Amino acid sequence: MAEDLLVARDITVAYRRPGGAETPALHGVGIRVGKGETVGIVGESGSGKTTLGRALLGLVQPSRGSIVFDGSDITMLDEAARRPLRRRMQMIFQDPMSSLNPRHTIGRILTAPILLHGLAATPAAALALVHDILDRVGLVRGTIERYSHELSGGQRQRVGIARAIALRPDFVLADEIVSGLDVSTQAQVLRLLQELTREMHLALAFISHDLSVIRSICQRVLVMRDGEVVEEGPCDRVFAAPATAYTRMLIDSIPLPTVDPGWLDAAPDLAPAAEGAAAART
Amino acid sequence: MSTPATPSRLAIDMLSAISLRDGNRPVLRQVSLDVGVGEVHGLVGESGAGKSTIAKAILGIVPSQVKLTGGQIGFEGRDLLKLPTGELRALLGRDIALIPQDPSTALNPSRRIEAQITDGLRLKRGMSAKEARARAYALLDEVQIRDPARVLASYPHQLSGGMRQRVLIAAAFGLEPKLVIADEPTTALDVTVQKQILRLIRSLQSRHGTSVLFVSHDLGVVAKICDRLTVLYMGKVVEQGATADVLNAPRHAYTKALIAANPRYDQPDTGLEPTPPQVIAELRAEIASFDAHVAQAGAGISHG
Repeated sequence: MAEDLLVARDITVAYRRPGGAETPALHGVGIRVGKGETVGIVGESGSGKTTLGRALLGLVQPSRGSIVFDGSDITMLDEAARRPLRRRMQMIFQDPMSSLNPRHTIGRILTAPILLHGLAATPAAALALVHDILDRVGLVRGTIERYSHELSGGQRQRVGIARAIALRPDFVLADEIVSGLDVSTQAQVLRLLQELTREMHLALAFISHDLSVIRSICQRVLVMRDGEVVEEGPCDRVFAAPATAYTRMLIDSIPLPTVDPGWLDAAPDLAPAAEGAAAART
Repeated sequence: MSTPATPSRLAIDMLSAISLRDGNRPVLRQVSLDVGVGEVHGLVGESGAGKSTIAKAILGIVPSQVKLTGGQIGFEGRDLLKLPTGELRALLGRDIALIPQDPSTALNPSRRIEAQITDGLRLKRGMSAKEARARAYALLDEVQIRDPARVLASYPHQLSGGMRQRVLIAAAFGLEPKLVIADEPTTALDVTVQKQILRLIRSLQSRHGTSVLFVSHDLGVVAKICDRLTVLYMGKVVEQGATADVLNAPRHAYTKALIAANPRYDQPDTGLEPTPPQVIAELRAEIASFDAHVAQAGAGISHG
C-alpha cells in the first residue's frame, strides 16, 4: 500500500440554514488517499461527495474530525497558514466554463498562478512552463491567445487540468469533471488524467456519480450515501463482490451498452428512499 | 435504410438542414428514419450530431439560425413540414408529445402541478375541470407516484428531479399521443432514478402502443430501451438497424469506436479509448464527398 498522503477521519459537516437550523451533510466520514493513488468517490446527488471534497481542500470547515496532509494536521489552519498548501492541493472543477475567467486569455489564466506561487521568476519563464504544460495536455500553444468561450468542452477541461498540474501539486481533487462530455472526449480526458497521475506520482480524489468511469481510472472506491460512507475498498473487489445492498443496487442500475431484455424489469434490491425524501423537502 | 417490423408511424425522409449562422454549413444530411407503431427508436450521437435538430424539426421548433432545406417528416401519412401552423399546433400534445431533457426547467415554477397537467387534458381532450382533475390523479398513479394528491398540490420546486420527470412523463402520455419524443429524458437524473424512469417509459409505451423517438448520447441507455437505433455523426446517418445488431455487430468503424469508448464497470481498463483519428478522418472524408455529390446534383436543379 502506498504511503499516506491525505488522511481524513470522522469528518462531520453541517450546513446552517437561514433560521439557524443545521442540516448535516457529512456524518463522521473517513478517507485515505495514498501518494500517487487514485481514489474514486461515488454517490448519488445529496450523498455528500462534493461536500467531502470541499472539506478535504479546506473550502468548508468540518465541525468535527481531522484532516492530515503529508503528516501535518491541516484541519484548523487559517487562511495564511493554508497558503503554502494551496499549491500542493489543487482542484479541477465540474464545469470548466464557469471556473475559467471569461475575460482572461487562457495564457493569463495559466501563467498567473505560476508567478504567484513563485514557480517561475519572470513572465517569460512562466510562459515557457505553460508551453510545456499545453504540449503535455494535448493543446496547441496558440491556445494561450484564446478565451474560454472559444474552446470546446473537451479543450476547456484540458485547460482545467493544465491549470491544476501547472503548480506541480501532490494532490488533485477532480469533481465530476467528465460528466458533460461525449464518451470519446471523456476517454481522452480520463486517459490524460491516468497518464499524468502516473508520470507525476500524483494522488487523485476523483468524484463521480458514474461507477463505470470510476472503474476506468481508480484503484480504490468510496461509496457514499446520505452523508456516510457505505462501502470502501479496491475497485476489483467492490465491483466483483459489493459488500452492501446499496452498492449492489448502484452497480445494477448502470446500463451497459449491451442488449439485455430482463435488465429493465429486474427490480433493484433496495427501494431508493432518497427520492421520496427529496420530494418532501421544502 | 432498414425496414421496420411494424407499419411506420413516423417516416423521416431525406431531411436536410443548414446552419445560417455558420456559413450555411449542413447540420442534417438527408437523414431518413422510420419509427414503427409501438417502436422505441433510439437516435444516438455525440453533441453536434444533429439529434436535437431532428427532434425540434418534428415539433416545429427549429431555431431561427437553422433552415430546413429538404426532405419530409411523414406522420400518419401527412408531411409535418407542410402542415399549416394551426394544424401542427393542434397535433402537438395530442398526437405528438415531448418528454424534455431537463425536468427542472420544463415546468412552470409558479403553477401547481395539477394546473400544468390538466391544461392539456382540457385544451387538447376537451375534458371538464372535474374530469381533468380525476384524470390527472389517475395519471400520477400510473407513473407510480405514491401520493398523487400531495404532488398535484405541489409546486415544481417542492419535488425531486425524478419526481418532476415522472410528472412530465404523466403529462406526455396523459393525452395518449401516438408518438412521444423523449429528448435525453434521464440525463439529469441519478442512475437508480434513471432506471425507474426508463422502466416507466417502456411500460407506458408498450401498454399504449406508443411510438417513441428516444434521443440520447448514452449507448447504455438506448441498449436497454430501444428496439432499433439510428447512429448520427455530423448530421448524417452512419448506421441504422436493430439495437442488438448495431451493438453486437456494428458495421461502421465509427459505431465500433463509439461502443469502445464507453467505460464499463464490469471490465477493467475500459473507457480510455477515444475514437481513433483515422476513423474520424475517414468519416469526414465520406461526408465531404457526400456534400460534394449533393452540391453537384443540386447545381442542375433550380430551388423554388
